[in-house]
Amino acid sequence: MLKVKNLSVTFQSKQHKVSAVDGISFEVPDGSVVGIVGESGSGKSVTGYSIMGLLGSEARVKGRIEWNGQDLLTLSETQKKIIRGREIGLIFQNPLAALNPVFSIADQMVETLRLHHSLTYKEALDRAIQLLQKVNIPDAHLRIFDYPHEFSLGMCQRIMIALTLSMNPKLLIADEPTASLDVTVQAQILELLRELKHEFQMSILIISHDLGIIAQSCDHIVVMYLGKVVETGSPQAIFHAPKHPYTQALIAAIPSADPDKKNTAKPLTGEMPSPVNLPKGCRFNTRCPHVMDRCFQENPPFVQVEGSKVACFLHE
Amino acid sequence: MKLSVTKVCITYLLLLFLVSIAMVFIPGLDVNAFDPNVVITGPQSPSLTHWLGTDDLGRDLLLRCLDGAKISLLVALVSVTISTTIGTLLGVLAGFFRPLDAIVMRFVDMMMAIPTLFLILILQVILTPSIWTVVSVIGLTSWMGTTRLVRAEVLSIKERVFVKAATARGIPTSRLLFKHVLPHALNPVIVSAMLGMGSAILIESVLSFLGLGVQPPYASWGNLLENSLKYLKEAPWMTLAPGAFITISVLSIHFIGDSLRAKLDVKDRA
Repeated sequence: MLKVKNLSVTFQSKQHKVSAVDGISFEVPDGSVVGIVGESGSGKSVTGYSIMGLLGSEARVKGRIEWNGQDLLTLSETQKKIIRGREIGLIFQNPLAALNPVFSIADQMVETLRLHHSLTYKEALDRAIQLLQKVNIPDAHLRIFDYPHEFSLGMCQRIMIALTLSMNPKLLIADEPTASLDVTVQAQILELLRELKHEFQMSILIISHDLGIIAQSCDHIVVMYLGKVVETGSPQAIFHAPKHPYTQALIAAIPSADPDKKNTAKPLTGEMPSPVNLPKGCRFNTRCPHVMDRCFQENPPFVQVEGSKVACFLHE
Repeated sequence: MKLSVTKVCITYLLLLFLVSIAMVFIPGLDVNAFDPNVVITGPQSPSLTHWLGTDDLGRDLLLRCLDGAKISLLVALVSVTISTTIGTLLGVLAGFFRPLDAIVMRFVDMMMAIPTLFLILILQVILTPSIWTVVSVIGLTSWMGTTRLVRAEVLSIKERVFVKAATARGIPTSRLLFKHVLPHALNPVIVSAMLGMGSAILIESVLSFLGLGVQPPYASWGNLLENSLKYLKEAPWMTLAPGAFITISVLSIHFIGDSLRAKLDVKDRA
């Protein structure tokens, strides 16, 4: 299982120090689906990248990322290469950009398969075709020789999933897996991920800004705002009894699909402060409807309230 | 079929190369055969028997120029291969590995600060001039532009998502570099190699002109020019013939390089 403890990521540029993630902790137990939700700039993708060790050298990563008891941050580059792919796989927001445009799907899948398993070219190709059939690519045995640009975005995401699954990872990190896809394709991809999770016996970490996706597929939800976790809990707790004012605002902003009801969605006002110049105290204090004096002085600690944990003085 | 400048240039260069190679296999043809009568009377002007005239030894200039094409084109081809290989390798290393970047690029700056022609001249004076020293000296002193190009491309390509995705699949660094990054950086390299061939022909001509390049009896356009100097007034065709070959060939190469750039520039089409 994956345990993230007190993870902080800062980017140091010449002029500024940008704190993208600040002391977050969460767990992904074996076989579960955990969702990280937050708006752009909340640090959710940076969290995913830091687990994979894909951040550039200008990033300073502190804390612990434990994978089955081993701290990923202390591993050498060689050890990381073994963990990457074979144990933890990553799929991206834009699947077309994540596939190398100058090689056919067959080339890329066979390359990956032969890297992680000792297979001949023919065996690897057969296995790749099987995997493509598993992610519902029609005529997989013919289309495997096509190039990424010859597929639609939804198909590319399926191929990306097949490519990642070819390594049999124990944990799949899905960074906005459906953000660039239309709604019907989104539902298909999520359904596919759910099926494959059982078949491959893996756990999934979904990173998304879309509460709908998170609600449908996750066992546990982590809500992030400006690099901090503000609330974590089960989907029921988060959706039916949100505790943190930010979570409440997110849920209130979902428009109702009922045509008889007037649109009661209340979008959150104001803008997210810049991570270069963070507000003192609680980071939500610039937009919070229930803001108190205390929120400008201290950082709220986590407290257990019913099924969820929340970082807000309202619940102390 | 539309007659394009590029097609004419490609045809010209191919024909030139093939003819100059084929000449080796024509029995009884000796480009170095001289006419004792001419040695006394001086170079002959262009006529029906000698289309471009003869030199001071009565050797047919057209044949000499075609024979020289083989050497000149070979020098260009081999030296560009050397410089492109070195340039690409160093560029990839500098672009991909941050700590190497400063070292390699400062070395490039240093090499570029040295006037190349003088460096080549000094090296040629120290070494015994031969075709192979010409080739290696040109190759070893003209890779810096390629390094800069490749480094710049690699810097941007290594940030692209598919490279991150390949890293996330645990693909080894060497494979990542040469299979996933390098092919995307090659377009400008092909163009610069093409243009590099043009300047290699020119450098070879300059060296041979100064007597430091290809040595007689081998003919190259440069040493044909050198030989013509003494007769510039009475036999201008001896200068014009190899000069025209150099100009037309370099121009053709540049035209081809330019149209390659237009064809390969993805940004232009998107």
